[in-house]
Amino acid sequence: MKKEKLLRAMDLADEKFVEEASPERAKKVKASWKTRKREIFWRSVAACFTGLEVAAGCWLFIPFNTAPPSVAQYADSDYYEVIQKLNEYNYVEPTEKNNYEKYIEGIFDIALKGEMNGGADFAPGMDAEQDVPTEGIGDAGYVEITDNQEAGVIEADLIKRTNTHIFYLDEGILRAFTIAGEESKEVGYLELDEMSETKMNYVSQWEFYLSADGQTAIIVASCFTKQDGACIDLIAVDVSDPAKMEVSGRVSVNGGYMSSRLVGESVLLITEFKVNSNVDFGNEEEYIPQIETNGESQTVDADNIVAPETLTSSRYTVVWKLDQATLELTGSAAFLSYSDQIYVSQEHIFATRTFTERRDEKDGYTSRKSMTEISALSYAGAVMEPAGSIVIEGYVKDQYSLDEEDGILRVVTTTSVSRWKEYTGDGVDSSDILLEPSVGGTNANLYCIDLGTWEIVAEVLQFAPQGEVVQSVRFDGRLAYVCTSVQLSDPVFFFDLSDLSNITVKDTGTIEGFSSSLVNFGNGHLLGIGRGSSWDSVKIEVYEESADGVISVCAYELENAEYSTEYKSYYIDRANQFVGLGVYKYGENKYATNEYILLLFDGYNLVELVNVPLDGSLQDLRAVYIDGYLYLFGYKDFSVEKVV
Amino acid sequence: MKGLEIHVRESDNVEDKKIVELYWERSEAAISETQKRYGRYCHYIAYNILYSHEDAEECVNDTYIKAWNAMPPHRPERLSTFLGKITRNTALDRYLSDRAKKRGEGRTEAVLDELAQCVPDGKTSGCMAEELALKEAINGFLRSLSSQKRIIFLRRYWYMSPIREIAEDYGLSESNVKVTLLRTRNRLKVYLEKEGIEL
Repeated sequence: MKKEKLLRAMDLADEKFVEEASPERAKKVKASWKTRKREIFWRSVAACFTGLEVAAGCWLFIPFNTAPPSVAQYADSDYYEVIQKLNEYNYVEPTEKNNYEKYIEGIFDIALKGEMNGGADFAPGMDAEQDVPTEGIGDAGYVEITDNQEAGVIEADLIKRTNTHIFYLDEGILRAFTIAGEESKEVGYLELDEMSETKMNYVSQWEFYLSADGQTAIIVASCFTKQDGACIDLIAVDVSDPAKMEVSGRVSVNGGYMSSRLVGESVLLITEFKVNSNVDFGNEEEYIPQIETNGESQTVDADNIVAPETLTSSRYTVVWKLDQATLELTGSAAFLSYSDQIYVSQEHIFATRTFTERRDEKDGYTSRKSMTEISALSYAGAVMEPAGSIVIEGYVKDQYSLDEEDGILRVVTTTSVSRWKEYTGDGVDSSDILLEPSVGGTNANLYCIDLGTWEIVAEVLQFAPQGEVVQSVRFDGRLAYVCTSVQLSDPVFFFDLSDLSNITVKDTGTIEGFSSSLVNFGNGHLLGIGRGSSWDSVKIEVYEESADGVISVCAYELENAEYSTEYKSYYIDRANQFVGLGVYKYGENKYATNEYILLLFDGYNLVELVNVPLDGSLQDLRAVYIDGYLYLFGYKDFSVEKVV
Repeated sequence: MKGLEIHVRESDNVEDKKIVELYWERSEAAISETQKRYGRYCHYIAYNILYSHEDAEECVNDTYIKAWNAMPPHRPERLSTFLGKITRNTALDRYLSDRAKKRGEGRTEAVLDELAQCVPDGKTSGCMAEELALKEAINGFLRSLSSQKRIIFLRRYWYMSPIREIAEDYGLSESNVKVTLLRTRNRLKVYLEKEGIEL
């Protein structure tokens, strides 16, 4: 009853409410509700978009993290210190502050936002010009013909000899020749360039050693694999029977080839190992140099890795010490961030790294100065170990710019200082950024560093004419020879380092041309090989020291010619006062020919004794004088010339 | 949710007044005009209670007679609701007296059962004052509702419309309508109890 009563009581509802709910009005109400729903929907959508805009705004303006990612998870690794330094070096701080600057601002901003940052801008070249006294080992038939920088520290070459045979590495083919004057001939060859789809050999960079007993050749073969990138193979070849040479062993190393030495019974292989920026620190192979011997992979111990406080490069210079006979690994060490020049003395291995020191000065000027850090490993003992380091001003040109003598490291550097002021114009165009002419320039310094304390005990600063750079350096005992130049003129400096508290310097004054290599030619004479009166000329010049300075004794100059700056391509025979090298001459008919010339310094003049055609790249041409004959080697080219 | 403001078109109002005048003039055209304008409307209300076209038709005819008898003296402002109430009560009377027939598959009974939930506890009374109080309470309750809830509530419990039809007419889902009705009934019960209404 109650429910019926309530049902009836609904009758009491106000008429306007009843009319509002009338079915006939339903369509209108439905339409208005739909409109309202639509309004609510679009307001919700608008609210969502507003929310997204707020979120986007937050995303756009949240400042970027400027700290390198954490590597704390590798704290237990032996290489944690290396990991930390590599992590910090590889981290690239965002140039923009936030996503707005990164994605939005650049659309409207076309200005060049340049900033001159420091960096290794003055890295020197890699010319390996040598001036080393020739020596013969003598025992068991091996005869040294490579002009090594250090006595007893043998450098690899394209040509080696014994008492009976000459071996020449001809672009991946090891050839053996008899030493029989005009009857000489090739008696055997071994092809070592095994091409495959996954491996490429850089035969033009190959060189080799010959063991002291003359029985084994060790080929240092640069190569590249798709999987591992740059690599080096050490290939041992039994040459006991030159007519039947065969491979007797092989070792592979990851990395690029820098240099090598044969010291006593050990091969020192010096390689470069680069760490990629997106390295996985969980995989040591990606950031620690390793070598594979006898199917086993070995890495450099963490204790044997030398690294500066702040890395300027993610490259290692790695030293692998291997037994000459077995190619077994007997030691290893690495310089992290050092990847410029290598100098190997009789006791140490020195590695250099160049960086730029930048300073913003109070007067609004900015200065940049080229600096070099030199680190050393001692290798003479059973174990290679760090020996110390020092930072000096300037950069080092090549291995000949360093020399160790009686515990003193002598170094010649090119100094480079720039000082400028930067300002922008009213516009935003890059052309509005103007630099005042930089002040400073280049010059040269000589340092003497005590290897016991790693302190500078003597120095000669800014000894060259302002604006000149070091072209060549040669140390010879207590003497040092330096050639500097700007364009096509050079002075040659003689330093007497016998008394470090009173270093004397003499020079030639400005003379025509410059020497890219300086050679101690014996008897107080210095040989310079380089350019003459023009960039198309080749000049070989002899200097000697006088009471008043340094004077030119004589010169041999070829016009319209090219030469190689590869020092090992020069034949230096001090005993006979011979100098030989390959040249490229432009003929009258504009066709160029390769020739090999042999000069004799008779005390007064340089006299041409031999001038013959010889095929091959200039840096690969080799020659050796034996008992009245000059044996010449090129690309698939061999000849013998009688020297009168 | 704001309620809709019902705007009666002036033309509708004029039409209603003309028809009412016909009743006052005792013109036979009053019935025909009423049938023409509100015949379907009244049939709809009656059918939703009786679920029989024949019975609904009879109710509508009864409505015309009752309207003839009511005007004069009545001069309703809204002729539609005036006639609708007459039809509704006539149909309810018929339904309640003839419940045994159970037409419409118990749909009208279902409406009653739903409303039973709203009935506050207490003794019944037929007092006029209480009826006035009830009217005030019901209208006060209806005013407190949003337009949408109020329309749905009255479509169900005044017009006795099926839930499916309410849902279709207003573009809602049936479950939406059911939930709205349930919540509104609960609110009505609380409201009536609060107002001290006894049925």
